Formats: sequence, C-alpha cells, structure tokens
Amino acid sequence: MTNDEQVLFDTDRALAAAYATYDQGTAADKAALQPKIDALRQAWASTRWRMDFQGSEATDEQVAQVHQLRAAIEAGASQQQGLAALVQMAGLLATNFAA
Amino acid sequence: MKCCAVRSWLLVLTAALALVGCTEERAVVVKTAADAFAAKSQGAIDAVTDLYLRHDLGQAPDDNSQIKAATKDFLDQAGKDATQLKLPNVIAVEFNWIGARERLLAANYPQAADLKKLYGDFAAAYAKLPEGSAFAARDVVCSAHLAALLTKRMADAAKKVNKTPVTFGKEITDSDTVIRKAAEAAAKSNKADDLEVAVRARAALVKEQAGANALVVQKLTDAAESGAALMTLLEGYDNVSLADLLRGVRSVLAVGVRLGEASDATEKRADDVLAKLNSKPDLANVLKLPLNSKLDSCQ
Repeated sequence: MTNDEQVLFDTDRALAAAYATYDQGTAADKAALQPKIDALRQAWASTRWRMDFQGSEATDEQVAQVHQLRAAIEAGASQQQGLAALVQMAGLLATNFAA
Repeated sequence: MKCCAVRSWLLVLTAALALVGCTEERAVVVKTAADAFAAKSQGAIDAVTDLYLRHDLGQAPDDNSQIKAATKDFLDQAGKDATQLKLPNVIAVEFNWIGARERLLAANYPQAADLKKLYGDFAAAYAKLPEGSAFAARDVVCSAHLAALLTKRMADAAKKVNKTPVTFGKEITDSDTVIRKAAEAAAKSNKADDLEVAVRARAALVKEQAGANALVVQKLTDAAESGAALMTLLEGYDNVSLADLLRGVRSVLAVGVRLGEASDATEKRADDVLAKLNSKPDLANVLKLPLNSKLDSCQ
C-alpha cells in the first residue's frame, strides 16, 4: 500500500468508526458528531481528488499522524479525544495535503 | 495548483509559434487535435469532480422534488402558525442545493478550475496557427513533452479511480441508516415490506455508484488515449506528410467512451498509454516533473 493509500484507508476506517458511534449514540452524541463527520468526509474526498490528479505522495510523518488520529477516533468517537481527533484529521487533510 | 511556470512556458511556445513558418493546413490539423484532447480532459476533470461532489452532498435533487419539499415545508409551517409563515425562506431552504454545491466546489476543489485551465491553455497555444501564423518544428516536438505530462495525469487518475472507486458516501450512509431503522421496525412488526424496499434501494445505489465510476474511468482513459495520439502526431510533425497528419488527428478524435467495457480492459488501455509514455527515453525526466515545473528543453 502506498502512503497515499494508507492515508485514505485510515481516514476511511476512522469515518466508519465515527458513523458507527453516531448510529448508536444519544441525541447529544449525534449533534456533536454530525458536523465533524461531514467535515471529515468532505476533507477525505477533496484530498483524494488532489491525489488522483497531482501524483504527490503523503510523507511517512503524515501517514503516522493520520494513523494515530484514527486510533483515537476508534477508541471512542463521541469522547472528547475522539471528537478532537475527528477535527484534527479533517484539518490535517485540508492543510497538509493541500496543493 | 501552482501552474504559473507551465503558463509561462505556454506563452513562450505561443510566441515561438508565431515566428516560424508552416502550412495552414498542417496548423489546422494540430490545433484540431489539441482542442479535442483539451476538451476531453476538461470533461473528464468535471466528471471526476462531480463524482466527489456526489460523495460529499448526495444526488442533486431535481426541481420537482425540491418543489414538493418546499410545499411540504410550507404546509407544515402553516399548520403550526400561519401568521409566522415566510414563503421566500421556505423556498430558499429547499432550493439551496445548487448554492451548497457551488460553495463546496470553490472551497474544496479549487484546483479543478486551475487544472482545466491548464489543459485549455495548452490547446490555446495553437489557436493562432490556422489564421496564418507559423509553427516551428522544434516547438511542435517540444510541446509533445507538455502533452506527455498532461496525458500522464489523465492515465494516472484513470487507474486510481478504477482501483479505488469513489463511493456515494453520504447516500450510502443515509441508506444504511434507513435499512437499520427498517430492520428494527420489521423485527417488531413482523412485516418486512419497508425493509425490502430499503435493501432494494441500497442495491440500486451501489449499482449506480459502480456505473458512475466506470463512466468516469472511461472518460479519463479516453482523454489519456487522445493525449497519446496527439503526442504521436506532434512527434512526427516534422517528418510526415499532411495525409499522415490527418490520419493522426483522426486517431485523436476517434477514441471514445466505451460503455459496458470491463474495468480491467479499461485499465489495460490506461496502462498502454503509460507504457507508451514510459518507453520514450526523452520523456523519462519530463514525466517525473510536477505540473508546476519548467520544461527546460522548451526554453
């Protein structure tokens, strides 16, 4: 798996974990999660678009960061750390992977 | 995307083209082929971007469904407190999809417009030729290098989307939620009609998603093959007859989307384009360059 593919894979898994938490969450969980999930899903898509066309490869450091954030989200997307990780992951994709 | 260096190069090319002579017919042939390649590439970029926007926002609602939703909102509000009813607000809420799409496009995919412009600029470099301007053989061959770079982008993207299709993320998630709720209701009521409808809708969505991805890969591959054919035409420009050039431009135009083609066959076509690019020693360094690089051989 290339670094780009690793980043997309980890983000995809993180989103799946967040969705699963959302589905089983309370109304408060859902209200907190929904905008963050939307932001991450959209950041994931725009990152993939850039990777499709620009051929730039994510660095090992970026791969490690995304992987770490995925772990935090999987540990509990509705917990404070998990929510923060969702926001950080979206921000990371939007800034570090921008052209 | 930083494509100023390539744009500078295009300006140099355009100026150079105006200085040296060739026949008008040959120029028309080259321009036609370059225009076709640019148009196909721009269409493919739009198709890819549309796919991602659908991932983000879901299917664009048609006017009828928006009117129905606005009418329902209107009735709901009228039922609660007709004195507070603000019709324009109701309509604005339901008809905000286009605005949301445009905002997302500008915020998350600004490179799409830049990339399309790059392909347009490439074709525009040949625009004045049929009006009697001239074309240097060296510049034509040199422009093949830029064509190679632009062609590679299309072939690479075709392979990436083919390997990892873009999901209809929002719609799939929404559909899963509907199925989960229907399954819960079915378990309680012992009636599975709604669940069956939901499962059928999910299956149809997945099928539509596969079709949309296949079409996008086709468009990217079509553009890549047109680029490869254009390169052949440009490389032989100095040595071949007008008749050969005309045959060359036909091969640029003849490529097309092949509906129903198996995905591995489409990928093979993209692979063939990349193999052709990689087989040329003079392109070895060019193909490694990002689009914002200067092509020294063309200075």
